[in-house]
Amino acid sequence: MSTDNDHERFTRLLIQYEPELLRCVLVAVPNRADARDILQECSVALWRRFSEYDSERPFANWAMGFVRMEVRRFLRKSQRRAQLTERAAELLLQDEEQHAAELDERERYLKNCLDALSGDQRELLDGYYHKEHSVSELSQRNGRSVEAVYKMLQRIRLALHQCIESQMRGAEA
Amino acid sequence: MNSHDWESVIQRHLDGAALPEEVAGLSEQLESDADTRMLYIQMARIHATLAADDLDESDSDSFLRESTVFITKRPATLARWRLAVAALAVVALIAGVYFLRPSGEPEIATITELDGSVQWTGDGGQVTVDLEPGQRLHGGTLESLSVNSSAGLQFRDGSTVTVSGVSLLTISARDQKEFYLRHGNLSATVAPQPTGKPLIVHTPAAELEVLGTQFDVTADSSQTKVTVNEGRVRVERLTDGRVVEVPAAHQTVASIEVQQEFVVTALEKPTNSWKANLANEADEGRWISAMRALRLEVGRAVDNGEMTADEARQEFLARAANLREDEGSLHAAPVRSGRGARRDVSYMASLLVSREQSGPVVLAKGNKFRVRGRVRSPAGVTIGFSALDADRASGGRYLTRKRLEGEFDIELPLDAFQLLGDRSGATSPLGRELIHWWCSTDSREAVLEITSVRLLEPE
Repeated sequence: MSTDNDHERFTRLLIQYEPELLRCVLVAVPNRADARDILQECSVALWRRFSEYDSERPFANWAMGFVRMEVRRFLRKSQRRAQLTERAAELLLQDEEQHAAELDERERYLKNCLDALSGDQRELLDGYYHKEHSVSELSQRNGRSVEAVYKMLQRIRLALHQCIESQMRGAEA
Repeated sequence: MNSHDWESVIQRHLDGAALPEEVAGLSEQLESDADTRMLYIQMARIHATLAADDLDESDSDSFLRESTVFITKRPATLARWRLAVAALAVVALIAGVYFLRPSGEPEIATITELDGSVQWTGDGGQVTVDLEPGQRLHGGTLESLSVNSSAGLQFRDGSTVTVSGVSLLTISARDQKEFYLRHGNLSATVAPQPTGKPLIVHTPAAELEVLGTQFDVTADSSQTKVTVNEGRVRVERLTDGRVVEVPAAHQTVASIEVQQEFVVTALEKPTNSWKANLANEADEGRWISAMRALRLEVGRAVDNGEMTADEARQEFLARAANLREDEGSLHAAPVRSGRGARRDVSYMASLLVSREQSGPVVLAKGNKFRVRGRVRSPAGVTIGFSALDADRASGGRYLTRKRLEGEFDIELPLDAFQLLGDRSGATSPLGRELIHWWCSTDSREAVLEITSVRLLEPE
């Protein structure tokens, strides 16, 4: 039987590692609403099995097994929609784990690169990612076509990618 | 494709804007090439970090704030919208091919039956909504616009085709019959075709070659289910070119994903009962799992200041641990209703019975529908089903009306349903195969939800 103490300990661990787990889910399932649903199901599965968790082991490693399982289950259930195959998603999650140190480093550079964006670009990212406006809403607000908004988002992410690459090269030099 | 092209596909996939074929191609590339996987991960991590929204506020101004992942309201997803645009583009492309052809083509089919909202696009793009039985058609596109609409066509050689539910079928006017079923349900009884000129049915996931037979096809953007009742149909899965032959009383499912099984299986014996899988059989309406509903509920409590985020997490976990995975409800969604140029809107939850069943569900004397759900305010509700004869040549829509209030749990015997329209021939649903089930209301305020639908065994 779980105790209140367990409940509190689990909640604390979940709060701490939730962003990291969500990032992993979002790589295999980029749709944010789907990724949140997967994480919800995952958190319930983790809680149900929390009594088996060995606190000597890192929580994130233990939880990643559940994340993989829930991602697989989601992809199997939603096979009618445009999703990656289970095999492709599994390989991505494996590679992501293998390159964790490099990806953490890239994330630090991402913060610098975000500062280099123009006001318009930051506003668009804010609307899309933080305020979670749809592209259609953003197109109405900005007086641009839907297609133009998609293109802008893609250009901004490409610019961030190129900025990270350049900073990584600079650090190596 | 080079890495630049893959970068572009990856970006579209991240925004839910890639076509199913593009995502299938991307999956294949990711499975075989480590460099593309690394490029994907790098791009996806940028998207994921921005979406997970967990960078420190101090590091990136105010636009990336504390994570609110766990308790959030679900925003409208983009994927379906984008797919709809893509589907429209495909439709426009196909339609364009036909609209640009010279006029004066022969009439190839006659409308034999019409139910509900159906429209025809042909003759240089002219859209006809006021179709009538007996009307003759050239090549063009037939759209059945709602779950309870259908249209029957008869071709000059005697072949018949019925399109039902939300479906889009383009018919070629060449001497060889070619159908393009973009999505929806088609039942066909095909007369023997000339040697070397089989009837071809194109769907997004498969191509069917038919010499003379009776079969049903259900297609969406990523998979096609073919059920053969008589004769034999050759089915090619487009993703890898694999071919299977489906004999009578067998079926197959061709997916755009090559990892999915592509095998022929025998149809199960008909049954007289059915328990709806609301999540997977939903055709109209929005499935919301109980877990998601709980998340929204505690999210609202946080928004209203009734509990803190930590309390909400604890509440969520305590209650979610007891929920079944398949627990949830199908929420009625707005659909266009009415025949011809009328633009009425009703709120509908519907189920495509054949989607999950591996054998027909045949209606029998003594069957009753048991329906459970809730309405937020008292409302008149129409409950209906469509059923077809084994030869698919005839069938009908059956309706009953009830006034419902609050939580409801009702049993409806088959004789409570009336056949819609003035039909000649058999009017009883007994012995017919259950195809679609639906429940609708004209009242937006009713907020109709269905939690369970069963066809109870005859007593």
